[in-house]
Order: sequence, then C-alpha cells, then structure tokens
Amino acid sequence: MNIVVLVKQVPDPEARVTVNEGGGPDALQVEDRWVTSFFDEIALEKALLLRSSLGGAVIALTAGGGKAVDALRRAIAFGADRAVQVDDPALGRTDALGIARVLAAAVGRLAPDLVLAGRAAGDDEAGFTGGAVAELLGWPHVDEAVELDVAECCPGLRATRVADGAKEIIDVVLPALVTAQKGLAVPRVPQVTNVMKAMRAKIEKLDLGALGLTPERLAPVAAVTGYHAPPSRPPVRMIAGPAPEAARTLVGLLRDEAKLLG
Amino acid sequence: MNGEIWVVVERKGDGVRRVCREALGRAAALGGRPVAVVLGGDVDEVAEAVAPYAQHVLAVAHPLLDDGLAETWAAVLGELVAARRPAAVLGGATTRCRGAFARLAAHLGCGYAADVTGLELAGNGRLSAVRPVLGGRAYATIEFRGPAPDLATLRPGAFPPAAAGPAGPIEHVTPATAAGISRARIAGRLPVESGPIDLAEADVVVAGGRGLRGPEGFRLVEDLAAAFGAAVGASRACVDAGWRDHSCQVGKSGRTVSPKLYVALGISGAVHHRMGMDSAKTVVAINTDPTAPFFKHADYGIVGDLFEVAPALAAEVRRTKGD
Ligand SMILES: Cc1cc2nc3c(=O)[nH]c(=O)nc-3n(C[C@H](O)[C@H](O)[C@H](O)COP(=O)(O)OP(=O)(O)OC[C@H]3O[C@@H](n4cnc5c(N)ncnc54)[C@H](O)[C@@H]3O)c2cc1C
Ligand SMILES: Nc1ncnc2c1ncn2[C@@H]1O[C@H](COP(=O)(O)O)[C@@H](O)[C@H]1O
Repeated sequence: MNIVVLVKQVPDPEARVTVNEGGGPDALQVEDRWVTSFFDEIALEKALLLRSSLGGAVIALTAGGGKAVDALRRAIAFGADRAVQVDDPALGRTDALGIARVLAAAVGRLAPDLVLAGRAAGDDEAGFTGGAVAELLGWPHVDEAVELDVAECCPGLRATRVADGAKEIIDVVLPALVTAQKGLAVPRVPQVTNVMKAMRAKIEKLDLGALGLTPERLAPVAAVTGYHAPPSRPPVRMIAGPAPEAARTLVGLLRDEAKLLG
Repeated sequence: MNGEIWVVVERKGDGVRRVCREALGRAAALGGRPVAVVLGGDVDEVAEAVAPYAQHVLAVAHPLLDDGLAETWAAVLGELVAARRPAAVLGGATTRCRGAFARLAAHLGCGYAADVTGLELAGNGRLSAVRPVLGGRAYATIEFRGPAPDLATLRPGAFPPAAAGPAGPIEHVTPATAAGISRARIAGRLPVESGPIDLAEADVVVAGGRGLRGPEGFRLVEDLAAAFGAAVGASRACVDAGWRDHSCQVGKSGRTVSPKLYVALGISGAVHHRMGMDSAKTVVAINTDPTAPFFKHADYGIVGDLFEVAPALAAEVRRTKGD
C-alpha cells in the first residue's frame, strides 16, 4: 500500500506569541521556533507501521516554502521513502482552500492508496485540510481516527474514532484519506544517524505549473484580515482557610459573583 | 444579513444539540432568516424539536444520511445550497459537522471558518468570523470573499442559545444526490468513558491531573462532577498513565471545552492543557503548590490538598443546590 502523509511545519507550541496593538494582518508575532505539527507525526508513524505490515512506500508531502522543508526532513529521519515539496510564490497569497487544492493536485499525481493527515495543524487548528483534500479528490475520508487497520470485510480500511459521545467504527473503500487523532500511534524519536542522513536526502520539488494550477485558481475565499490578543482573565482570587471553610467561600462566590449554580 | 442563514442540525438523543440552538440564536441576531436543516434517515422528531427555534425547517430524509458521515452530508448540503442559495450555512464545531463543512467548502469553493467564537456582519453584508489560533494564544478575524454562502462552525458554548418561539413550518425535502455515494459506512458504535455528560458541550467540567495519584483518585473527580452535574476531564499526564480514556483528555492534543465553569484538581496548568480550556468562563484551580501556573490563569484558587478540598466542595455544592 502506498501512503502519502501530509506534513506541516508549525510554530513550536511553546514559542512566544505576541499580538501587537492595531490588530492588522501583521499584528501576530511568533517566536522563530518550529516543529512538525503534533498530529502529523502521529500520522507519519502510523504510515510507517502500515508499511511494515503491508509493504509499499511512504511519501511525505508538504506545501510551503521556508521552514516547510524541515517537516520533510523530519519525515525522512522517521523513515519515509520519499519527500515532496510544493513551493511557489503564490502559496504565500492563498488561503486554506488554495492549499487544499495544491495538496489534492499533488496527491493526484502521486496516486497513493491512502493519504494520512493530522486532525488539525498546530497553527491554524482548522481541521479543514483533510476533508477538503478528500472532497477535491472525490475520495471518502474519516476524521480523528484513533485506530486504523485493514478491514476484514472489503478491500479497504477500518477506522475507529470518537464522535458524538460514542466510538464509531467506520469502513472505507480505498483510495481514502484519514486524519490522525492522538492514540493512533506513538511517534518514534528518530536516531541521530537518520537525522544526519535526512539533511542530505533528496527533496522532490513541484511548483504550480507542474501541478496544472494557476495563481487565479488559488484566490483566497476566507482571508485572515487581522489578529487580536485573547481576552485576559482578571487576577485570580485566592481563597484561604481549611478545606470546609474554603469550599464554603468558593461555592458562595460561584453562586453570588460568577452567577453559577443558579 | 439579507437572505437565509442555514443551521445544520445534529440530534442528541431525541432532541437537538445545544450548539445548534446557539447557532440558530446567532443567525437570528445577525438579522438573517434562520432556517434549520435536519439531515437523517428519520428526521420528523428532530424537525419538530427544532421548529420553535427557527423560522423554517428543511427536513431532509434519506436512509444514507443516517450514518452522519461527512461525504454524504456534504453532498446533500451541496445539492440543497445550489438549488436554494442561502447567504450562510452554520453548524456546530463538532467532529461530524467539521468534517462535513470542510468537504462542503471544497465542493462549493466557498470560504469556511472553523470553530468560531465570534460571528459578525461585515460592512459588505458578508459575515466576518473570529476564531482562536495557536491554541487560543491569538484570535484571527476571517473575512469571506468569493462565492456565497459563507460557511462557519461555531464553538459550543460561545454563543447564547436561541429562545423558543412559535414553531416554524417544516418542509420535507428529498435529496437526489444521496443515492450511490457511500464509500464509507459505519460498521459499529460503542459507548465511551467520559461519562453521561458530553465534554464538549458541558456547562461544568471537573478535571483531574497527576495530583490524583492514580486511577482511584478519579472517584473524587467523578463525585464532584456528579454534585455539579458536570462532565469529567483529565490532563494528558493521567491519560498517558492509563488512568483515564483519551476521550477525556483536555488540551492541545485532546479536546477543547468551553464550559461556564472549569474546576481543575491537581493539574499544574501547563500551556498545552490550558489550550483546551482557556475559553471557559470561570476557572477554579485547586493545587497544593502555590506556584502552580494554573493560579495565574484562574478566577478562583485554593492552595490545598485535593483529597480534602474536593470532598468538602462536593458536600457544599450539594448543600447549596439543595439535593
Ligand atoms: C505537544 C504537546 C501536547 C500536549 N497536549 C496536552 C494536552 O492536550 N492536555 C494536557 O493536559 N497536557 C498536554 N501536554 C502535556 C502538558 O505539557 C503537561 O505535561 C501536562 O498537562 C501535565 O499534567 P498534570 O498537570 O496532570 O501533571 P503535573 O504537571 O505533574 O502536575 C500535577 C499537579 O498536581 C499538584 N498536586 C500534587 N498533589 C496534589 C494534591 N494532593 N492536591 C492538589 N494538587 C496536587 C502538583 O502541585 C502539580 O501542580 C502536552 C505536551 C506537549 C509537548
Ligand atoms: N501546507 C500544508 N502542507 C502539508 N500538509 C498540510 C498543510 N496544511 C495542512 N496540512 C495537513 O492538514 C492537516 C490539518 O490542517 P488544518 O486544516 O490547517 O488544521 C495538518 O495536520 C496536515 O496534515
């Protein structure tokens, strides 16, 4: 089974984030520390596990320039067979749907049996790309899988996810796309020698022309026009005293001040 | 907003999920005509239940819609949107609706904002949405361009629910598209551990961390949760240690909750945990360590041993609520 894994380099969750007054599209400042998105590493690990039981190749795919290539190098250090980067100046001017179009076109060329992606990327956390890419390809998809295996019944896969307060078991026909939730796999820590090798590994490059896309096709339909800081919480009220007394004070405050327990 | 604002309705038991009423409330506040769209195999009960919150109900019945899978829902919504041209389509930011909306946006080529906490009317008569990014450490404003409708899923608890009014008329619609598209199918459904109250939509969440010392500690959490009528959450440390199912994990790599009240017992308050609950209205932290980070991000704090404070709190809540 050939598997494409969508990987994205995103700001480290611990990177400092500041939002400047004024709030325009450039107001967001994030410290220059990057990691491969949390759920993408889970997706990648699952792809490698499926490869060891079923054979085939694992291809890491990213859309973006600059730091984006680091996600591919990490994927190779994990053990991916190939790495493909779509890089084009137009990517900086598009939106999530444009990126989905680019990824779908690249997947179309790679023609895998399965695409794995993260449940949501660590930066925009939209949880959009997986479903959108599947739709553009005309494939079925399952979001937030915590288990994924070969289905016994049919030529396809069986995924498990938690939705709506229940565990759902879903069978899909291939080719299909599945997004990874925590629990699907535990990402490995790549060996130093593999990290070194990955630095020199070949990265296959594609641009819009090679994918048969034009910048017009990527005109944004949902544009980020500004940022603001999250609402700040007022300073904490510390409640002192032995447990029963503190509990009484707290419940009184929750009732009278926070208007809870109504 | 001129025109119809559709809200995709999800069922809960034999009623309507609260977030759908929240979306209908927001649709009305934006000045649009709120239309509830009920999809399913058998939709009559839910259509009746939602009618008091909408001006009009589209009851769309087809056996294939019962599975609630993204592909089927998006295909049928795409067909209805093309025929009736609403100005916007809203849904809850649930697993089900997020999957369907991603596909719908790609199918129609429309703009989509996921998991929004703010929804306004922009100067051009389109919507503008506000949504958290980077784990809630910044909020982005999204403006819609390109073809209508504007699509958004709403974070549960972010908007007040619609109040009941006179029931809108129910129109039955038979979709043409649904036949033949089912390359995914539900093979089974099993219950999960997070308890009888759904974490994502709970008014109160009581969550436990490594301070509970082991799986037995969760009995305290469960008891306090029962007193409040709350759902049970857990930190990643507890989930990774196997004390609690992953479906209970709150945080960056778990679930996002935005309850009216979040009570954290023995949780340090690491940024990754807070990313899942920062939009809670009121936060209570209980921790033996006065320097625990949670105290900087809470409304009320008690420095104390949770094994003493939690039972005292449960007793006090029960006394106050009179049960
Ligand atoms: C990429 C990434 C994603 C992550 N995602 C998540 C996530 O989704 N959710 C999440 O929770 N974490 C997540 N984490 C982990 C997170 O950083 C913390 O490690 C985790 O939240 C710690 O859990 P804890 O607070 O229960 O444990 P600890 O940090 O060990 O804290 C236990 C607390 O209990 C207190 N305590 C001990 N005994 C008592 C007592 N008797 N009474 C009262 N208090 C007591 C201690 O003072 C301490 O503050 C993530 C980390 C990474 C790197
Ligand atoms: N630019 C990109 N390149 C490769 N994969 C991406 C890109 N953007 C998003 N993805 C994939 O889609 C998932 C969900 O992203 P999002 O829809 O942004 O939350 C990510 O976890 C990745 O697997």
